[in-house]
Amino acid sequence: MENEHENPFRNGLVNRAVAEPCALIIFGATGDLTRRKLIPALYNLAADGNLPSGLAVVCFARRDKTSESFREELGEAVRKYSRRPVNDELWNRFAEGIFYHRSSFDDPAGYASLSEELESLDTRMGTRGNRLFYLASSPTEFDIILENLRGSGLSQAKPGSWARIIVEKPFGTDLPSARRLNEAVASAFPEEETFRIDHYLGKETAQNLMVLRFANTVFEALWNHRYVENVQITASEPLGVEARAGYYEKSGALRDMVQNHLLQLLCLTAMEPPTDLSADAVRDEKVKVLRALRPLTGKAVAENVIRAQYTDGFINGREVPGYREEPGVAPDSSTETYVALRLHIDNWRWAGVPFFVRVGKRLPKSGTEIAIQFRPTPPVLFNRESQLQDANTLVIRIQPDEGISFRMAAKMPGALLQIEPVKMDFHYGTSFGKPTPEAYERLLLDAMSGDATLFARRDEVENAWRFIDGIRCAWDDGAAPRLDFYPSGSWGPREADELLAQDGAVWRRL
Amino acid sequence: MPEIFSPGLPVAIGEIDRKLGALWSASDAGKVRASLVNLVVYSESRDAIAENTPLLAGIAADHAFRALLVQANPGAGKTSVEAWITAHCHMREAGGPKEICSEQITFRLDGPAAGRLSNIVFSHLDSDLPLCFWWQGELHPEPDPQLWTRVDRLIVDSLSWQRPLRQFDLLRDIEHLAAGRCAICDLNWTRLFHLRYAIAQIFDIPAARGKLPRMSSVEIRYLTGHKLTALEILGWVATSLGWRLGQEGGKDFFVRPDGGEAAFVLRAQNDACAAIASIVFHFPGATASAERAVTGDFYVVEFTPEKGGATSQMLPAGREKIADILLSELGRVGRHPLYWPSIRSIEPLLTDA
Repeated sequence: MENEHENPFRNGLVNRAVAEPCALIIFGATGDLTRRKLIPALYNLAADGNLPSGLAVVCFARRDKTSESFREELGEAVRKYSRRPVNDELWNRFAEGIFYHRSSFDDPAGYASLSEELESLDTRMGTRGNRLFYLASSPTEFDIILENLRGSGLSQAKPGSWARIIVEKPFGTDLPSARRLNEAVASAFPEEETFRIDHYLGKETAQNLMVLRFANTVFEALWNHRYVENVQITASEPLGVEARAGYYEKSGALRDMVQNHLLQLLCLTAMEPPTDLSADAVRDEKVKVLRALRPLTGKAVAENVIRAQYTDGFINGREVPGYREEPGVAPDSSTETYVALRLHIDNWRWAGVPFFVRVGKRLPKSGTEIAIQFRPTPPVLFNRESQLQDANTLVIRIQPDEGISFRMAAKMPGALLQIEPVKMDFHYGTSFGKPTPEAYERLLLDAMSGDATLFARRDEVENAWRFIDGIRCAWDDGAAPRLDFYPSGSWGPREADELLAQDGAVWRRL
Repeated sequence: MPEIFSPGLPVAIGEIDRKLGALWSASDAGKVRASLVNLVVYSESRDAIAENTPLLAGIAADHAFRALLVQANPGAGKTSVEAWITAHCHMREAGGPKEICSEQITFRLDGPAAGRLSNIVFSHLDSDLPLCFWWQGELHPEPDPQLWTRVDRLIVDSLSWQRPLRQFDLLRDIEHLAAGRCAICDLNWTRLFHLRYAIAQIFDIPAARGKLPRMSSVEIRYLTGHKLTALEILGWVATSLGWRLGQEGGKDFFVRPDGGEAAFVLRAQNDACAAIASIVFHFPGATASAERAVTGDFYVVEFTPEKGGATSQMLPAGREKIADILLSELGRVGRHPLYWPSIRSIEPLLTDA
């Protein structure tokens, strides 16, 4: 053995970082996220053999429960939400490592007893003093949890161990609140041990974006203002506000989706090649994109941003109410359920290329995609009379039906010279039979192994908020744009179409 | 041949591409042709077509391919070439009602026609896709340079070999001939993937890892008929730990880097529940083990130090059907860097029947 600290049996076996033994402490563990996402993700990691040999899950919450009763609850949840059928023997063994710790978030005694419990788990479960804290509670509780983690000394890693924290979005509601949150986190955990989770980045297709761009010769050569006419990033869903009115009324589509998910996708699409694949090298490049985003403030907001709200209409033939008629929504609410933006990235690569970003609820179809619209061919030969209406388009589908398609022109068979668009299509599901892991599986595993590449860094979050706040500010000042409306089941307001028409573009039909 | 194993529609050898095209244009719009790899399956077994057609149909659900199934009978008196085409379709789980289909072209080559293997293969590959060649049974003594220099991945199963020493030599010859272009994949090695992973997991525990330099013996229980599988895992352990084989007084053992001895015991068991039922590592004052669970596809791995505090975990063991092992191999990219060192470390223990 060359190094006694290395496991000689790992040589040649896996090419990714191995998750380290740890205690995962989930704050707000009785919430939906734990039942629907976190525990099913952990179970699937166990079934794939990806969990470390020493893992304990400590569920920290206020409600009166026992470990046994909570395990039963989680067992039901896993059976319902796991992507694969549950093996009872494996679940039972995995569940033995789940513990319920009852405490309110503001009770220092609860943290003191947590500390004792974790010490005990180090011995019983082999968690080796490593702590992975997960803030899955309401964001309003983050401050008090962080304060108590610091006060109890739990945020301090012991020699030879680590203490990390995963922060669930939203990372604030604007730049000042994001800064406050970041300060609170930084007072307890160093940045390199802070993992801000945006589950979009854990999706296979989002991860594949860098591979597509930087592992293929053809795309990167064309990935610039010389060949790209515009880029369209769309996140649409037929769902309405559902049971989230309380949250959504305050956030709206801009804060809920654009600030995090869509700007992350934009960064991955527009960034320069990183110098290496380390977390900071990748995130440095993403931050550069955010810094190069042309700020939208005042009048520029009116010219480049459309905000709208759904009215009643039909989804899949079923009549649905308008946003203002939804339970929990103010009858005069001005919260946007749809946003369309025209963005510009002021750097060498993207000069003059508009990035059209739209997100909306109660749209006809569910889908998130990035479309690279290439410039048309010169108006000679086959395009002499501009008869080639459909230029080349590369579409990266993030969800559902993850994959990539490329549209190009082809001659129709026959004596006439008739040119039609055809599509080359790659579907993950078709090509790779094995099921795609859930985003949370990958992200939890990365956090356990200390790889922060797929997590947002502090400056990313703050730069994203700085940009979004400019728009919010213009809205709040009444500097326009006004709130438009669109019927449920349509592709959004007419004004969004007009926004693209100014550049001679049209929204893609999903 | 029973209908259930039908290799499909009989076609003339020169008509295959045209007939395949016709097959697709006649199918309904809900079918999508998909392929990730050219998978050639070569066998000289009389039952090759009946055995491999359902196996390929099963694999197609998880790994789309164009398969060329070749049954060769070089000893036949007269020359003949027969061909069939078929598609294996599976409903896609999500995202719409489409069926995903893989193609299979089946050949039966009799007599001297069996010598035209390269030509038959090269004429019917899906261009640009990698070429995986699964050679079932014993390799031929005269490797065909034209073939092996164009194969990306040669798959064999050393467990099926009667004369493993000779076969390993031939495999090396092919690898040498291909000048590194062709990756060698032994399904008997792939069979051990989950066990190797499980063993690695035990020694992620620092206390267990600390014991490794003083391992005193390894004990392997294997299913009768799987001795080579047991030897390959032993070879991997020895290679990973830097052991070399020693012999004294007719007794084989390994010599550790510190000069100490590590014994090994291989026990065949008729009723073992898997190829490798268990592997136990003995240390002064501790043991570590990976044991295949009787129910379910799991290993239970344990580390038991002298003074209590045993650690235990369940880890996936994978399935042992040949189709599952092949799928596992197809789903993995890259080479097997420890394969040859592991084989070399146990080669002196092999004998050709």
